[in-house]
Amino acid sequence: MVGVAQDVGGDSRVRPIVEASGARFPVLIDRASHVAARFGFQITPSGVFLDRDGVVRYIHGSASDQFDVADPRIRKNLDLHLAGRRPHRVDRSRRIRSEALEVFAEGAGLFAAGETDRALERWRRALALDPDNFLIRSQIWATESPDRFWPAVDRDWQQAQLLREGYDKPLP
Amino acid sequence: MRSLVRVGHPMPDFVLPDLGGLDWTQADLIGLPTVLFLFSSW
Repeated sequence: MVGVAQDVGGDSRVRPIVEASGARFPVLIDRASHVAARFGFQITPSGVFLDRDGVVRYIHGSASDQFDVADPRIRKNLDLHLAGRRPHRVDRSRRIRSEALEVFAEGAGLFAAGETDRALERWRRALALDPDNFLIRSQIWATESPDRFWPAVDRDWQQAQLLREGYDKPLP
Repeated sequence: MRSLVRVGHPMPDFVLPDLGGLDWTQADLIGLPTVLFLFSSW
């Protein structure tokens, strides 16, 4: 297991939750969501299985079907994967064009340079390209309203915020 | 714009730091079956 944190806040945001979770696997920091973009993920948690040759064998993650290792469907496929066999269900992901996350990555670079306003402008442009992308939407929210995310995530606020933004689907 | 990675494709190139500051690439994921778990703090 290798964790890949999709978070522009980097180490300072990721380390506390990793330590609190007791995770004992390596965790990589992907500030610009490069990995999510290559797989077309719009949300976390999401997951990918690689075989011993580094070939992708399973992709799972969408707003309606997130990657949860406690899910018996995923556990079964994980057991097959670790036994060197092919998972039964593959590619359970919403496939999108990665353009939105490429624009998002530009914003992540601006954010890392301390240009938060320009980063937010770029992220809003990215969200307009893919309004269902909660990697982007949540990062905007977390940057503008960090008190709604740390120390605890306020899902009631998120649901209300979706309505304020005119988004007509439920919170994933 | 790059195409999306699909089942049967190799893991795409990447260079990302871990929490200890060590850079990882796709080459570090070869040799054992791996699960990549993408998550966020928010």
